Amino acid sequence: MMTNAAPAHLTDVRPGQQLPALHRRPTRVSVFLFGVAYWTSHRIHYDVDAAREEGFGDVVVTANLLSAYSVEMLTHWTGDTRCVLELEERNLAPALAGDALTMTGRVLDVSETDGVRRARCSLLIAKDDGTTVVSGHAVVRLPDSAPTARR
Amino acid sequence: MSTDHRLGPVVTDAARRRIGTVTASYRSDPVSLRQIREYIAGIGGRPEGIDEARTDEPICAPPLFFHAACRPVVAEDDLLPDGQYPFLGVPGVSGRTMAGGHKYEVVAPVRVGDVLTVTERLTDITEKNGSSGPLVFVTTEAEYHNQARKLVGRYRQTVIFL
Repeated sequence: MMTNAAPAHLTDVRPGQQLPALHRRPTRVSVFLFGVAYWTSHRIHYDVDAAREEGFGDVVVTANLLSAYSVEMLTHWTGDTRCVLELEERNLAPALAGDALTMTGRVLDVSETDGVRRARCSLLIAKDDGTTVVSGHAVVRLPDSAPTARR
Repeated sequence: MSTDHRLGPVVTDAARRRIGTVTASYRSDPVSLRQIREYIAGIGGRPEGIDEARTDEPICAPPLFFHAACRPVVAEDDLLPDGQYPFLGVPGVSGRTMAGGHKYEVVAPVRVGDVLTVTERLTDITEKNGSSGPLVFVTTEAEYHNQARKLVGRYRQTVIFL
Protein backbone atom coordinates (compact mmCIF):
# COMPACT_ATOMS: atom_id res chain seq x y z
CA MET A 1 0.00 0.00 0.00
CA MET A 2 1.36 3.39 -0.97
CA THR A 3 1.49 5.92 1.83
CA ASN A 4 1.65 9.65 1.49
CA ALA A 5 1.54 12.68 3.68
CA ALA A 6 -1.74 14.52 3.81
CA PRO A 7 -1.53 17.63 1.64
CA ALA A 8 -1.27 20.78 3.72
CA HIS A 9 -4.81 21.87 2.87
CA LEU A 10 -6.19 18.59 4.28
CA THR A 11 -4.35 18.43 7.60
CA ASP A 12 -6.90 20.60 9.38
CA VAL A 13 -10.28 20.10 7.68
CA ARG A 14 -13.07 21.82 9.62
CA PRO A 15 -16.84 22.15 9.31
CA GLY A 16 -17.78 25.14 7.21
CA GLN A 17 -14.74 24.88 4.98
CA GLN A 18 -15.54 25.55 1.33
CA LEU A 19 -14.25 23.11 -1.26
CA PRO A 20 -12.58 24.46 -4.39
CA ALA A 21 -15.28 24.96 -7.02
CA LEU A 22 -15.26 23.11 -10.34
CA HIS A 23 -16.61 24.66 -13.53
CA ARG A 24 -17.87 22.68 -16.51
CA ARG A 25 -19.89 23.56 -19.61
CA PRO A 26 -21.08 20.23 -21.06
CA THR A 27 -21.84 20.34 -24.78
CA ARG A 28 -24.12 18.14 -26.87
CA VAL A 29 -21.01 16.09 -27.65
CA SER A 30 -20.23 15.72 -23.93
CA VAL A 31 -23.71 14.33 -23.32
CA PHE A 32 -23.39 12.02 -26.33
CA LEU A 33 -20.01 10.67 -25.18
CA PHE A 34 -21.40 9.94 -21.74
CA GLY A 35 -24.38 8.26 -23.37
CA VAL A 36 -22.05 5.89 -25.19
CA ALA A 37 -20.32 4.79 -22.00
CA TYR A 38 -23.55 4.72 -20.00
CA TRP A 39 -25.71 3.25 -22.78
CA THR A 40 -28.25 6.01 -22.49
CA SER A 41 -30.87 5.62 -25.17
CA HIS A 42 -33.37 8.16 -23.80
CA ARG A 43 -33.90 10.63 -26.63
CA ILE A 44 -33.84 13.72 -24.40
CA HIS A 45 -30.07 13.14 -24.06
CA TYR A 46 -29.20 13.32 -27.78
CA ASP A 47 -32.21 14.28 -29.90
CA VAL A 48 -32.72 18.04 -29.75
CA ASP A 49 -36.18 17.89 -31.34
CA ALA A 50 -37.31 15.22 -28.87
CA ALA A 51 -35.92 17.24 -25.97
CA ARG A 52 -37.78 20.35 -27.16
CA GLU A 53 -40.97 18.35 -27.59
CA GLU A 54 -40.70 17.47 -23.90
CA GLY A 55 -40.24 21.13 -22.97
CA PHE A 56 -36.46 21.43 -22.75
CA GLY A 57 -34.46 24.03 -24.64
CA ASP A 58 -31.73 21.57 -25.62
CA VAL A 59 -30.60 18.05 -24.86
CA VAL A 60 -30.66 17.25 -21.14
CA VAL A 61 -27.39 16.52 -19.36
CA THR A 62 -27.60 13.01 -17.90
CA ALA A 63 -27.93 13.08 -14.11
CA ASN A 64 -25.16 10.51 -13.74
CA LEU A 65 -22.78 12.74 -15.71
CA LEU A 66 -23.51 15.49 -13.20
CA SER A 67 -22.60 12.97 -10.48
CA ALA A 68 -19.27 12.42 -12.17
CA TYR A 69 -18.66 16.18 -12.04
CA SER A 70 -19.35 16.10 -8.30
CA VAL A 71 -16.85 13.28 -7.92
CA GLU A 72 -14.31 15.27 -9.95
CA MET A 73 -14.69 18.25 -7.63
CA LEU A 74 -14.21 16.05 -4.57
CA THR A 75 -11.20 14.19 -5.95
CA HIS A 76 -9.54 17.45 -6.99
CA TRP A 77 -9.90 18.57 -3.40
CA THR A 78 -8.48 15.44 -1.78
CA GLY A 79 -6.04 14.44 -4.52
CA ASP A 80 -7.33 10.87 -4.19
CA THR A 81 -9.33 9.44 -7.10
CA ARG A 82 -10.82 6.83 -4.74
CA CYS A 83 -11.83 9.14 -1.92
CA VAL A 84 -15.60 9.12 -2.57
CA LEU A 85 -17.44 6.68 -0.30
CA GLU A 86 -20.99 7.99 -0.69
CA LEU A 87 -22.70 10.40 -3.03
CA GLU A 88 -26.37 11.28 -2.70
CA GLU A 89 -28.03 13.81 -5.00
CA ARG A 90 -31.47 15.21 -5.76
CA ASN A 91 -32.16 16.59 -9.20
CA LEU A 92 -33.96 19.91 -8.80
CA ALA A 93 -33.81 21.37 -12.31
CA PRO A 94 -32.52 20.08 -15.64
CA ALA A 95 -29.08 21.04 -16.89
CA LEU A 96 -29.01 21.49 -20.65
CA ALA A 97 -26.16 21.19 -23.13
CA GLY A 98 -24.33 24.50 -23.18
CA ASP A 99 -25.18 25.45 -19.61
CA ALA A 100 -22.26 26.77 -17.57
CA LEU A 101 -22.27 24.68 -14.39
CA THR A 102 -20.46 25.30 -11.12
CA MET A 103 -19.96 22.50 -8.62
CA THR A 104 -19.45 23.64 -5.05
CA GLY A 105 -19.21 21.94 -1.69
CA ARG A 106 -18.81 22.65 1.99
CA VAL A 107 -17.59 20.48 4.83
CA LEU A 108 -20.40 19.59 7.24
CA ASP A 109 -18.44 17.48 9.71
CA VAL A 110 -15.31 15.40 10.07
CA SER A 111 -15.16 12.06 11.87
CA GLU A 112 -12.65 9.28 12.44
CA THR A 113 -13.50 5.59 12.68
CA ASP A 114 -10.99 2.74 12.78
CA GLY A 115 -8.24 5.21 11.98
CA VAL A 116 -9.93 6.51 8.83
CA ARG A 117 -10.83 10.20 8.66
CA ARG A 118 -14.01 11.00 6.78
CA ALA A 119 -15.55 14.31 5.79
CA ARG A 120 -19.25 14.71 5.09
CA CYS A 121 -19.81 17.51 2.63
CA SER A 122 -22.82 19.29 1.21
CA LEU A 123 -22.87 19.64 -2.56
CA LEU A 124 -24.52 21.97 -5.03
CA ILE A 125 -24.49 22.18 -8.79
CA ALA A 126 -25.77 25.50 -10.09
CA LYS A 127 -26.11 27.29 -13.39
CA ASP A 128 -24.69 30.74 -14.04
CA ASP A 129 -28.16 32.26 -13.59
CA GLY A 130 -28.27 30.89 -10.06
CA THR A 131 -30.61 27.99 -10.76
CA THR A 132 -29.81 25.03 -8.52
CA VAL A 133 -29.60 21.89 -10.65
CA VAL A 134 -28.53 19.38 -8.01
CA SER A 135 -28.27 19.40 -4.24
CA GLY A 136 -26.80 16.62 -2.20
CA HIS A 137 -24.05 15.44 0.03
CA ALA A 138 -21.05 13.17 -0.07
CA VAL A 139 -18.83 11.28 2.33
CA VAL A 140 -15.16 11.26 1.39
CA ARG A 141 -12.13 9.58 2.90
CA LEU A 142 -9.40 11.99 3.95
CA PRO A 143 -5.71 11.26 4.19
CA ASP A 144 -4.43 10.89 7.75
CA SER A 145 -3.46 14.18 9.26
CA ALA A 146 -0.20 12.38 10.10
CA PRO A 147 1.98 11.57 7.07
CA THR A 148 0.84 7.95 6.64
CA ALA A 149 -2.26 8.41 4.56
CA ARG A 150 -3.48 5.84 2.07
CA ARG A 151 -3.76 7.26 -1.42
CA MET B 1 -47.59 -1.89 -20.62
CA SER B 2 -48.91 1.37 -21.99
CA THR B 3 -46.44 3.20 -24.15
CA ASP B 4 -48.64 6.19 -24.93
CA HIS B 5 -46.97 8.76 -22.72
CA ARG B 6 -49.68 11.32 -23.40
CA LEU B 7 -51.87 9.34 -21.02
CA GLY B 8 -49.63 10.19 -18.08
CA PRO B 9 -48.19 7.74 -15.58
CA VAL B 10 -49.80 4.34 -15.16
CA VAL B 11 -49.27 2.03 -12.18
CA THR B 12 -50.71 -1.47 -12.17
CA ASP B 13 -51.71 -3.40 -9.04
CA ALA B 14 -49.19 -6.05 -10.03
CA ALA B 15 -46.42 -3.44 -9.81
CA ARG B 16 -47.54 -2.35 -6.34
CA ARG B 17 -47.50 -5.94 -5.16
CA ARG B 18 -43.82 -6.22 -6.09
CA ILE B 19 -42.68 -3.62 -3.56
CA GLY B 20 -40.04 -5.24 -1.38
CA THR B 21 -39.13 -7.90 -3.91
CA VAL B 22 -36.23 -8.39 -6.29
CA THR B 23 -37.39 -6.94 -9.60
CA ALA B 24 -34.25 -7.17 -11.71
CA SER B 25 -30.89 -8.86 -11.84
CA TYR B 26 -28.12 -8.62 -14.37
CA ARG B 27 -24.66 -10.07 -14.82
CA SER B 28 -22.18 -7.89 -16.66
CA ASP B 29 -19.72 -8.96 -19.26
CA PRO B 30 -16.11 -8.91 -18.03
CA VAL B 31 -15.05 -5.30 -17.52
CA SER B 32 -12.64 -4.32 -20.27
CA LEU B 33 -9.96 -1.67 -20.47
CA ARG B 34 -11.79 -0.30 -23.50
CA GLN B 35 -14.99 0.06 -21.45
CA ILE B 36 -13.13 1.98 -18.75
CA ARG B 37 -11.53 4.24 -21.38
CA GLU B 38 -14.96 5.00 -22.84
CA TYR B 39 -16.30 5.83 -19.40
CA ILE B 40 -13.36 8.14 -18.64
CA ALA B 41 -13.89 9.94 -21.96
CA GLY B 42 -17.62 10.05 -21.24
CA ILE B 43 -17.11 11.95 -17.99
CA GLY B 44 -14.78 14.45 -19.65
CA GLY B 45 -11.46 12.84 -18.79
CA ARG B 46 -8.45 11.72 -20.83
CA PRO B 47 -8.83 8.07 -21.84
CA GLU B 48 -5.10 7.69 -22.43
CA GLY B 49 -4.44 8.82 -18.86
CA ILE B 50 -5.12 5.31 -17.64
CA ASP B 51 -1.86 4.19 -19.26
CA GLU B 52 -0.01 6.32 -16.73
CA ALA B 53 -1.48 4.33 -13.84
CA ARG B 54 0.90 2.43 -11.57
CA THR B 55 1.91 -0.83 -13.22
CA ASP B 56 2.27 -2.75 -9.95
CA GLU B 57 -1.45 -2.48 -9.20
CA PRO B 58 -4.43 -3.64 -11.28
CA ILE B 59 -6.13 -0.82 -13.16
CA CYS B 60 -9.18 0.43 -11.28
CA ALA B 61 -12.23 2.04 -12.84
CA PRO B 62 -13.48 5.47 -11.70
CA PRO B 63 -15.64 5.25 -8.57
CA LEU B 64 -19.10 5.43 -10.13
CA PHE B 65 -18.25 3.09 -12.99
CA PHE B 66 -19.84 0.02 -11.35
CA HIS B 67 -23.30 1.36 -12.08
CA ALA B 68 -22.56 2.17 -15.73
CA ALA B 69 -21.01 -1.27 -16.26
CA CYS B 70 -24.26 -2.96 -15.36
CA ARG B 71 -26.57 -1.01 -17.66
CA PRO B 72 -28.15 -3.62 -19.91
CA VAL B 73 -27.50 -3.30 -23.64
CA VAL B 74 -30.89 -3.07 -25.31
CA ALA B 75 -31.81 -3.48 -28.97
CA GLU B 76 -33.40 -0.48 -30.68
CA ASP B 77 -36.49 -2.56 -31.44
CA ASP B 78 -37.05 -3.03 -27.72
CA LEU B 79 -36.92 0.65 -26.76
CA LEU B 80 -39.97 2.79 -26.07
CA PRO B 81 -40.79 5.61 -28.52
CA ASP B 82 -38.91 8.12 -26.34
CA GLY B 83 -35.84 5.87 -26.46
CA GLN B 84 -36.22 4.83 -22.86
CA TYR B 85 -35.79 1.29 -21.56
CA PRO B 86 -39.10 -0.57 -21.19
CA PHE B 87 -38.20 -1.82 -17.71
CA LEU B 88 -37.22 1.21 -15.67
CA GLY B 89 -38.02 0.64 -12.04
CA VAL B 90 -40.52 -2.18 -12.37
CA PRO B 91 -42.78 -3.64 -15.04
CA GLY B 92 -46.22 -2.16 -14.73
CA VAL B 93 -45.21 1.47 -14.20
CA SER B 94 -45.08 3.57 -17.34
CA GLY B 95 -45.06 7.17 -18.51
CA ARG B 96 -42.49 9.78 -19.45
CA THR B 97 -39.51 9.60 -17.10
CA MET B 98 -37.18 11.97 -15.29
CA ALA B 99 -34.34 11.21 -12.91
CA GLY B 100 -35.44 12.23 -9.43
CA GLY B 101 -32.31 11.50 -7.46
CA HIS B 102 -29.90 8.78 -6.48
CA LYS B 103 -27.37 7.60 -3.96
CA TYR B 104 -24.11 5.84 -4.73
CA GLU B 105 -22.19 3.89 -2.11
CA VAL B 106 -18.71 3.00 -3.26
CA VAL B 107 -17.51 -0.03 -1.31
CA ALA B 108 -14.64 -1.60 -3.26
CA PRO B 109 -12.77 -0.89 -6.50
CA VAL B 110 -13.78 -2.42 -9.83
CA ARG B 111 -10.92 -3.71 -11.95
CA VAL B 112 -10.41 -4.87 -15.52
CA GLY B 113 -11.71 -8.43 -15.83
CA ASP B 114 -14.25 -8.16 -13.04
CA VAL B 115 -17.70 -9.57 -13.70
CA LEU B 116 -20.36 -7.70 -11.77
CA THR B 117 -23.76 -8.97 -10.74
CA VAL B 118 -26.45 -6.50 -9.81
CA THR B 119 -29.56 -7.37 -7.84
CA GLU B 120 -32.25 -4.69 -7.76
CA ARG B 121 -35.17 -4.44 -5.36
CA LEU B 122 -38.23 -2.27 -5.70
CA THR B 123 -38.51 -0.39 -2.42
CA ASP B 124 -41.29 2.13 -2.99
CA ILE B 125 -43.93 3.44 -5.37
CA THR B 126 -45.42 6.78 -4.35
CA GLU B 127 -48.14 8.51 -6.31
CA LYS B 128 -48.56 12.28 -5.95
CA ASN B 129 -50.42 15.08 -7.65
CA GLY B 130 -47.95 17.71 -8.80
CA SER B 131 -48.72 21.15 -10.18
CA SER B 132 -48.41 19.75 -13.70
CA GLY B 133 -50.47 16.62 -13.04
CA PRO B 134 -50.03 13.17 -11.51
CA LEU B 135 -46.54 11.93 -10.72
CA VAL B 136 -45.29 8.51 -9.73
CA PHE B 137 -42.03 8.11 -7.82
CA VAL B 138 -40.45 4.66 -8.17
CA THR B 139 -37.49 3.90 -5.92
CA THR B 140 -35.17 0.94 -6.37
CA GLU B 141 -32.09 -0.19 -4.48
CA ALA B 142 -29.40 -2.27 -6.11
CA GLU B 143 -26.36 -4.12 -4.84
CA TYR B 144 -23.35 -4.86 -7.01
CA HIS B 145 -21.05 -7.80 -6.32
CA ASN B 146 -17.96 -8.94 -8.20
CA GLN B 147 -17.08 -12.48 -9.26
CA ALA B 148 -15.67 -13.17 -5.79
CA ARG B 149 -19.09 -12.24 -4.36
CA LYS B 150 -17.55 -9.18 -2.76
CA LEU B 151 -19.84 -6.18 -2.49
CA VAL B 152 -18.42 -3.35 -4.62
CA GLY B 153 -21.24 -0.80 -4.47
CA ARG B 154 -24.86 0.09 -3.91
CA TYR B 155 -27.08 2.35 -5.95
CA ARG B 156 -30.46 3.71 -4.96
CA GLN B 157 -32.43 5.74 -7.46
CA THR B 158 -35.80 7.37 -7.77
CA VAL B 159 -37.30 7.63 -11.23
CA ILE B 160 -40.20 10.04 -11.66
CA PHE B 161 -42.91 8.98 -14.11
CA LEU B 162 -45.05 11.85 -15.39
